[in-house]
Formats: sequence, structure tokens, C-alpha cells
Amino acid sequence: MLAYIVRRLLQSVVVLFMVILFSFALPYFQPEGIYTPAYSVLGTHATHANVLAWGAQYGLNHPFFVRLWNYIIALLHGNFGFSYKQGQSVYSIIATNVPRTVWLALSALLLTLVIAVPLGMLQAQRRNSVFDYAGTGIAFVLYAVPSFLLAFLLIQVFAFGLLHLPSQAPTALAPWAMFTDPVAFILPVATLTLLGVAGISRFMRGAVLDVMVQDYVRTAKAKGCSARRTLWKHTFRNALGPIITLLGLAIPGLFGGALIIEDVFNYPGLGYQAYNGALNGDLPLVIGITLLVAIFTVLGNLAADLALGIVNPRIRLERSGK
Amino acid sequence: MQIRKKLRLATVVGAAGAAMALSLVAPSVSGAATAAPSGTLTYAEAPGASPNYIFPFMSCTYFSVNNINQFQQLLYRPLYWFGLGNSAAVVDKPQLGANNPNGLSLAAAPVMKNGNKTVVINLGNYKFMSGQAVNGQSVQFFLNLYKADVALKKGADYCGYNAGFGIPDQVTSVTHTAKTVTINFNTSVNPNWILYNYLSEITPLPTTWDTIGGNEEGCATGAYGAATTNSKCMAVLKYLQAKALNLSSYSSSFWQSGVDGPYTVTHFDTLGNVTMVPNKTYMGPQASQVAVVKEIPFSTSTAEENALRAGSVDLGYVDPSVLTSPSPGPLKVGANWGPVASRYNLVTGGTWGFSYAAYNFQSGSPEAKFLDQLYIRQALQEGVNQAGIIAKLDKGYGLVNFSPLPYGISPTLGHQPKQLYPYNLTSAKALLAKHGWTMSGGSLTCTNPGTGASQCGANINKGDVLTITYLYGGGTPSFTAEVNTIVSAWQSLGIKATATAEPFNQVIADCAAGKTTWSVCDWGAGWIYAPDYYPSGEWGFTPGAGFNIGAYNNPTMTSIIKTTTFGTAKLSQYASFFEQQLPVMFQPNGEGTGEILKTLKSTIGFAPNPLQNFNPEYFHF
Amino acid sequence: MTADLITQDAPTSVEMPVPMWRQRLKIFTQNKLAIASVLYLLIVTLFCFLWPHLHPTNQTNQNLAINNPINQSPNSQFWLGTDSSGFDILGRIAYGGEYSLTLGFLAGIVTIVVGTLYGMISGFLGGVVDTVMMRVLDAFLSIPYLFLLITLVTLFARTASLLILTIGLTGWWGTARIIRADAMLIRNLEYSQASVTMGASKWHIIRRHVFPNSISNIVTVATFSVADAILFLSTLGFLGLGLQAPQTDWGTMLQNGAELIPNGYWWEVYPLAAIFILVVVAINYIGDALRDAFEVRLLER
Repeated sequence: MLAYIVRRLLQSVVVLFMVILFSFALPYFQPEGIYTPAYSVLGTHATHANVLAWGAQYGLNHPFFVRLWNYIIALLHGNFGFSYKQGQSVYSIIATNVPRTVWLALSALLLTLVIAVPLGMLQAQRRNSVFDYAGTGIAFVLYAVPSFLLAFLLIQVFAFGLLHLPSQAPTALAPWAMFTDPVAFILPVATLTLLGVAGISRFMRGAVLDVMVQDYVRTAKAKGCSARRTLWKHTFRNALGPIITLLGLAIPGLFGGALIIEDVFNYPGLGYQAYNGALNGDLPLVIGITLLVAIFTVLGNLAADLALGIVNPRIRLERSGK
Repeated sequence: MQIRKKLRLATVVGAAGAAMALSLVAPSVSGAATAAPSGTLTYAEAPGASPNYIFPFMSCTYFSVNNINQFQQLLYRPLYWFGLGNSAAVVDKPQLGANNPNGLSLAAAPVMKNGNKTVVINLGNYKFMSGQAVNGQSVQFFLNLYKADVALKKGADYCGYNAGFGIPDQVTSVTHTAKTVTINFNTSVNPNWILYNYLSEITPLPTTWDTIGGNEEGCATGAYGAATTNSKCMAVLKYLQAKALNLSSYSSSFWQSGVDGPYTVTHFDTLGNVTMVPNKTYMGPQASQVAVVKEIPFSTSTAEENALRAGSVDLGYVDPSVLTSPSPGPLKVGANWGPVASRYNLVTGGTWGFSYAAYNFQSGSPEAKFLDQLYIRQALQEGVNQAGIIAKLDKGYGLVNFSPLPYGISPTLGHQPKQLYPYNLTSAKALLAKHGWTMSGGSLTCTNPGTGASQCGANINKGDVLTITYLYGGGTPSFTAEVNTIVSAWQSLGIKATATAEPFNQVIADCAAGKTTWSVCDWGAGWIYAPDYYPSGEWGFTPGAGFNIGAYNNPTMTSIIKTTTFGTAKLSQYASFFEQQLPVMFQPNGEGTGEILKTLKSTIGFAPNPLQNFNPEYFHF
Repeated sequence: MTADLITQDAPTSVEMPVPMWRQRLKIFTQNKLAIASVLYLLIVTLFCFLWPHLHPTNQTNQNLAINNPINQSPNSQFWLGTDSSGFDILGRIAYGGEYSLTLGFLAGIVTIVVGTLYGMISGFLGGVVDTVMMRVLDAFLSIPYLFLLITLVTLFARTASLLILTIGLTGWWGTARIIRADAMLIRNLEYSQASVTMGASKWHIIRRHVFPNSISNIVTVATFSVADAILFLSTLGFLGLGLQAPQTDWGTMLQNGAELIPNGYWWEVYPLAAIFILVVVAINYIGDALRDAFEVRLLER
């Protein structure tokens, strides 16, 4: 087990290195090369000398591999670099925004699971019933609605139509705003949750159906286990595996999806910062946030694999046997 | 020549002159008894543009409306205050004498001496919160920092620096007494130019900032330009810059000690939430009448409009694209936007600047030979349907633009702009035909090359197709539509015009980096004359100027511009020549459309300020 | 949350030999909703490509369009009204649809081609190559897709072909994983091993065993990829990073319309929203039905 974790961690380091390599190389392909952001940072009136001085300040005058090396060394000291545009270290921007996005994404994720997992299972159990068709239909439609459109519609209906819910989340810095002002989070969290339920309930239904036709479930039924017992004891346990794997993989998507929600609901967080960073050519910020999400993802996948081993001991055997 | 002017970055003048700060018409000396300030005034920051720098001596990274007009100047007043109400270039001067009330400017009108080679500044009766008077030394402190930065770092730390011009490069010496500062130049200068562009940018600094963490360092008291002063000032500058990067320190007593404006900061965070309360020791003409001023950040203008619909801001803005009924005329308002009409009043105002797209005259550009021809520039200008763009895409909230001097905003500096090339496709077509262009294969092709009056012009060969590559900053629907209005009109003339959208920062990079892949560059923001307010042309229309991105070079233009900066010539001659020569493509000037809470009051009315100044001290509930 | 959710559906087993195509087609055609989806897609596609010829409207000349009334409600001249730039909306839905459908389809194809090749090579070769390729894939998979998409379209000019390549080249990661899993499964199947011992070349194995077994997954995933590509294109449109004017796409149009929802200009957003959502639903439903048709277990019954 320990050896497995160590091996996975080493793999993760390799993966993160590749993310760094990739995000470092990409800007070199811009029309004006890595100096391109200078013009948006310094304004149109910057002279060529200004641009060069600015580049030197950020070490852009060094060759690619020197920059890469310096970045990695700094990273090991917890230094994510300095934002071109915001006049702060990337670390401090991340530190401000991580809790905000994580609260938003986590609460939506939890709510999603609480709704989608039972929903998917019930649908599978009552396959081809009206309930199943309704659930599938709603999931299909929600899945097809662009997130920004859903957000706009929810705002129009529930903020300015029926319930007069707040149309935006508080911009106050405090990460605990979610608890002091929960009403303001209803719409953003609801939007994310609806979008999540659309995917996960379908997935859960499929996973349960897959398990249900497998031999041991049939055996359990044949042995006279009650339908409910079969569903929860055998099917659920076995269908949980794919869901856990999926959750590990879904982390980047969570942050990506939060981007649109943060933008529409005026709730600056990691996604919004990354988006603005990209628009402004603030590459250290974009790279820093990308790397952070990559770290989350790698850790999330590791955690998912370990959890999988707990839920289903067979997995561990398979892996070690490989 | 390069005179830098602050460009309105990232906001589109034509379409989203959204974030106009609001201030009031004509200041008046407040004689009325002041009631205790009450209420919280909530102000909507422009989308994605929040204040993030407090130190007034700043590099181009921070040189923006959100830092200068909407934040720093509420705390730290500049030596000369420009722009109140709907006027841009009013200087509000104090009357001198111990018992006379102050004006918004910290000093009386500068006195020119010695054949315009010396300027004397007489300071009024202001005090910093530290208790120190805003005196000659505090002005010299700023100038010493500036000089040191130029001497040691070529001016890299102050964005207003213009190599070779004005302050500090043409300054031979600076001396001060308690109430006066004397600046000597090595040449005669135009008094307006030096006041509007240089003295306007000086922010007096308190002695408490003359430090590198310990005692007074001696930058403020040192002799101007001396090597020891320079090295001390550089150390101080580094210390202050490092401190300014710590945004959570902005509400500290260190930064408050330099406050001589009407407000002090009590809360500031990295998301752009700013809370300010009145400076109780403010000595200006109008103390704050509200107890708290809050600035809140917005991700998009739609999010801000949602806040207006919910009534959670007092001063906000709408994008003209959502307005349902058009404006009845220039600088007039039509019916307000339905969802907010019950709570807010719509206001509008112009901008102290002009909107244009640059032409590329660089010899390496394959399309420069076309743009070199005045008649082609005239034809292109006649293809710009300004009235149509304003009426439909801007809902009437725009001004037809045909002069480098801001039109429709007082003062016009003694010039009445003339529209020489209004929208007229018939005339444009005839003009091109007259010069030997005929349609061939769907495009205008030169069939009569040569330099005669009825020929295509120099360097244009027989068979050349009239081609224009139009680069613009995409992303804003109404601005995209504006550019495509222009380009499709050109196409209908037979010009082979193509429009390419790029993200804003890419457009700037591609246009400013001497590239030859574009022939028209439109970043959508034009130019705003602030905080160097003199609308002369040396920044963009003389050879080698900092923002002469298309390498425009016309000797007559150059000499006219020179007379407006060093001589005493008025701007009228320059503007007339510019209007006729069309070194740029004029496009409509956007108006700023603001929303003001109906319960908000002011004794002297409301109007968005052309310089985007924000004077919340004049508002009350 | 993430558009990969449906494409990364629960693993399907491929233990049985490939059933007959006709049988599969029968299963598919028995699914009435699937047929309805196909018909709907056909009608929308025909509308988008034919309507501009049947009822030509100006969709490119902005200078002429601003002569029209803007934000005009539906009337006899403009059947679905005009938008904020003065364009006829019914014609614009067709005009934008041409781009959205074509781009979505082509990006989906790029996705599936790249993903299939990558997954197959990796899964079939195995060993060190597989390890390296999978770590590279892990790296891609841990980057938020939307961040990368936005960064790419802000770094480079947004032509239609670039959007296809960007969406296509960034969307294949999930596909590659699924296909690789298939390839590995099949590689480890005994009959593949038998082929190897019998001297068959590796390429022969890919052609005869790996590819046919994966084809069900490839077709299904391809369908979902097209739906996802259309959705992602609309997200780019919302962020102002869609196609350049005078071209337009449904995402850009939806964004413009959504901003005007408070004004009550229903004709600028709801008709298109309905068409758009149903298109994505239909494509996804077809994908679902295809998977059912390929599903071995269902054939048994």
C-alpha cells in the first residue's frame, strides 16, 4: 500500500512537471512572444525600452530553460511568481480566492451528490418507468443548457421575478461569507448543482444498471435477498467505484465551471481570476492557478484511488497484480 | 517627441463608456453650515477594473482611472485640480491669504516669469493628516523623487515621464520656501502646456513618507538633482513601492498620514472593496456630507446592472446597449432603462478626449501607400457612418467626432471644430473614381497610376487592388458591430477591407510593436487627455512620439505642434490642420451613461465628469 | 459541471464478439425517440443550410443592417424580429447555425480522431510508451479545460479553423482514456494473445480485433464529442471569444440575447435557446441510443 502511494506520488510529480513545462512553453508561441503582455500591462504608451525593462524585471530576458529552472526553484519555496497586472504575488491572489471558489464548488458538489446519487439509483431500479423517463428527460435538458444561459434565466426568474433572491454573491473578502449570508449563495450554488445533477444522475443510473446485470447481483437476488437489500448492499457498493473515480477526474471541471458562475454572479474566485488573467495576458497568474488546480486534481485522483481500494478491496489486488 | 497621455485602457469609448465617474457642475464655495455627515454612498467600480495601488508616484502598470481618479485623488490631492462637473479643464484655484477658503487645487495659479522660463507656485492653506502643512517642501519631495528616478532609472517608475520634455528633463533647478516653489526651465515653455501637462501631475507628499523604515531620510529636504539627494530618494522610492504592494496596509496610519483630500481609507481588499470615511481635518471647499463611501467591484457590466436592479448601488452605470429608448440629442438623456427607472435617474456626459483608429504609415506596410494618399483617407472617412452608429448601436449616446479637440465639452480652447468629411458614400465613390480607381473583379483596382491630380498617387501601380486590413479589439458586441459597420461600408465601395478581431492586449501589442500586418488599428478606446490635460498632438503625431504607432510624419503638422508646446500658439491652428489632414480615422465619441439613485441629492446638480473624476464629497442623501 | 461526465460513462464491457450491424441498426430504429432526434437534427441542419437560400436576408453587411429597426419584435417583415444590431433573427439563427453545427461537427471529428489514435497507440503498445503517454495525458487532464481553451483563444487570433482545432485538440483527453482502456482490455484478451503467438503482426491485431471492438465506443463518444463541442463553442461565445464578426455562432447570439432578457426582448433569446438546447439533447440522445444498440448485453435479451 505504502509503495503504491509513493509510486503514485512520484507519478504526480512527473505530471505536475509536465503541466509546468506545457504552460511555460505555450506563451512563446504568441505573435509577439512572451513580451506580448507588456503592452497590455504598461499601456499603449510604453516605449520599447520600457518593455525591455519590464521584461527584465520578470526575468523574461533569460532563456527558456533558465526561466523554467528558476520558476521550479521558486515554486519549491512556495513562490508562485508575481502577477503582471495586479501588483501582488500570485500566491496572495490564490490565497484570497481559493477559499471562495472551494466553498462554492464544494457545496455545489455535495448537494449534487446528495441529489444525483439517489436519483440515479432510483431511476435504475425503476428502469423504464415514468419516473425514469422524467429524470432522464430533465437531465438531458439541463445538460444541454449552456451554464451562462441557465444562470441568466435563474436570475431573471428567481431574483427579479418570484422569490427576489439576491442576484449576486457577496464580494466581501471573508471566506465565511457563505455562512453569514447563505441566501446570497442560493442561486450560484443552485446553478452549479443543477448542471452537476444533470451529468452525475445519468452516470449513476448507467453505473447501477451495469452492476445490476452482473452475475453476483443476480445471484444475490436468486438467493432471496430483498430488492432493497440487493440495491444498497451490492449494487450501490459496486456502482460507487466509477463515481469515486469520476469525482477525482471532475476537479478541473469544477473549477472551470465555477468560472462562468463566478463571472455571472459577480463572485470573484479562482476561475474568474484565471479568466481575467488570460484576457489581460497576466500569464504568471494563469500559470499559477492552472498549476494549483493540477495539484488539486492529482491529489484528488490519488484520494479517489485510495478510496476505491477501501470501497472495493478487489481493486487493490488488481493493481498490485499488474 | 513623446508626451504620454493616459489611455483609457480596456474600456471601449464608442460602446461602453461605462464607468464614468460622477461629479458636479461648477464648484461653489460652501458657505452653508455643515451638518454631520450621514449615510453610506455605494459606488460601482468599472467591470474588472478595481483600484490596486495607493502610492501616487506610480509606473504604467498602475496608471489607470481606477487608481488615480477613483481612489488616490480622493486621498491625495494633486497640486492642480482639473475637471469638475461637465467641464474638463477648469482649474479651481484657491484665494491666497490665511483666512481665505481653499479651492480644490492646492495652489494658486502658477506665475510665469523670466520670459516663460520660470514658474512660481504659491501654495494655499492645506494640511496633511500628519499635521504637516502642504508646503514647498512637500512639493519638492515629489520633484526630488521624480528627478532621482529619471537620473538613476531613466524614469521607469513614473508613467507620466516624457524623455526630454517638461518636468523634470527641462528643469534646471527647483527651490522652495514654506509657501512657494520656484521651478526654472532651460527654455521658454507654453504656460498652458506646462500647467495642464506637468504641474497637474504633481502630488505633494508628506515628510512622514521620507523614510526607509526609520528616521527621516532627507529626500524631501535635499537639493534638487544633487547626487546625494538622488541616492536617498531612490532608497525612499524603493521602500514606498515595496510598501504599496501590500494592499492590506492601505488602511494603515502610514498611508493615512499623507491624506490631504476629503477621505481616508478604513478598508481595502484585493477583490477591490474599498471603504472610505471623511477626513475630519480636510480643509477644502466641500467636506464630505456622507459618512461612508464604499466602492464595490464588478465582474461584468451585466452583474453591475443586476446590482442596479436590486438597488444595491447608489452610483452606477448602464451600457447604452440595454437602454430601451434613444437619447433625444447629444449629451441629453432619453427615458431611463425600464428595470431601474423607478429608483434611478439616467445621466450622460462626454469625455475629454477623442475616439479614433490609427492608420499605419510605416514604409514596410504594404498598404501604407494607399493611406499616404489624402484622398483615400478622405474617402475612408466618408465611409464612416457615425450618425448611424450613434443612433442605433449607441442608442444616441454618442457624439459625432471629427476633431482631435474634444467636441461638445467646454472649454473648446478657442476652436470651433468643423466636420469636413461627413458620411457620404456617393462622394467617397466619386473621389476614388476620380483618382483612377475602377471596379474590376469586385474590387477597386488602380487603372491610372501616377502622381497627377486625377491619378492614383505615388507608389501605387497599375492593377493594385485597394486593400485595407482592419485590426480591432473584439469582445464587446456593440463595438464589434461598430467596426463592422465601417468595414462593410468600405466593402460596399469596392475596397477590399477585412476586419480581424483580437483580444485587447493582443491588439495593443500588435499595433504598438511596429508591425506592418495591419493598416487600421482600432483598440476601441481612442485617447483621453488625462492626467495631462492639454489636448495638443505631440504624443501621437510627431515623428518618434511614444504613441505614434503608425509612424505618421508630416513636417507641417510637426512644426504646428511644436508651436503649441514651446511657443504660445493656440491649439486652433493644430486642430484645423488635423481635421483637414485626417492622420487618423475618426469614429464616434461615446458618452458615459450613469445611473444615480433618485434619493441622492446635490445642491448643484449631476453630470458625469469628462475626466472621469469622482467627487463624492458633493453628494448627500 | 463538466461536459466530460456523459462521455465518461460507466465502463462498458466488451467481452462478447461483435454482433451483426443489422441487428444493431434494428435496435436503434426501434427507439422512437432516437429516430425523432435524428429527424429533428436533420430538419435543423436543413433549415440552417437551406433557409438562407429560400429567404435571403442580409447577415453580413452591418452598415445596411443598422438601417433596420433594432430590437424589433416579430412582425410581417422580420418573422422573428431583429437583434440589437438590426439583423433579421430568423435568418441569423440559420446563419449562426451553419457555423455552430459545422464547427461542432468538425471539432468533434478532430477530437475523436486524435483521441482514438492516441488511446489506441498507448493502450496497444503498452509498456514504457504507454506509461509516458498516460502521464502526458494525466497532465492534460489535470488542467481545467475551460482555462486552457480561454488561454488559447486569447493568445491566438480566433478564426473558424483555429476554433475547430482548439476545441478539437483540447477535447480528446477523455476520449483517449476510454479508447485506451478498450485497447488494453482487448490486448489482454486471450484471442489477441493467441494471434500474437500465431505470428500475426501488431497492426493486424489492431485492425482485426482492437478497432472493431472499440468502434462502438468510438461512435458513441464521437456523438457526445460533437454535442460537447457545440456547448463549448457557446461558452466561448458567452465570454466574447466566439467567432469573429461578420461571422457569428449560436453562443454569441445567445449571449447577446441573454443580456437583453431584462428588457423583455424574448425573441432575441428564447427561440434560439429552445432550438439550441434541443439540438444538444438530440445529439446526446442519439449517442445514448447508439450505445444501447452496441451494448452486447441488450442484444442477448
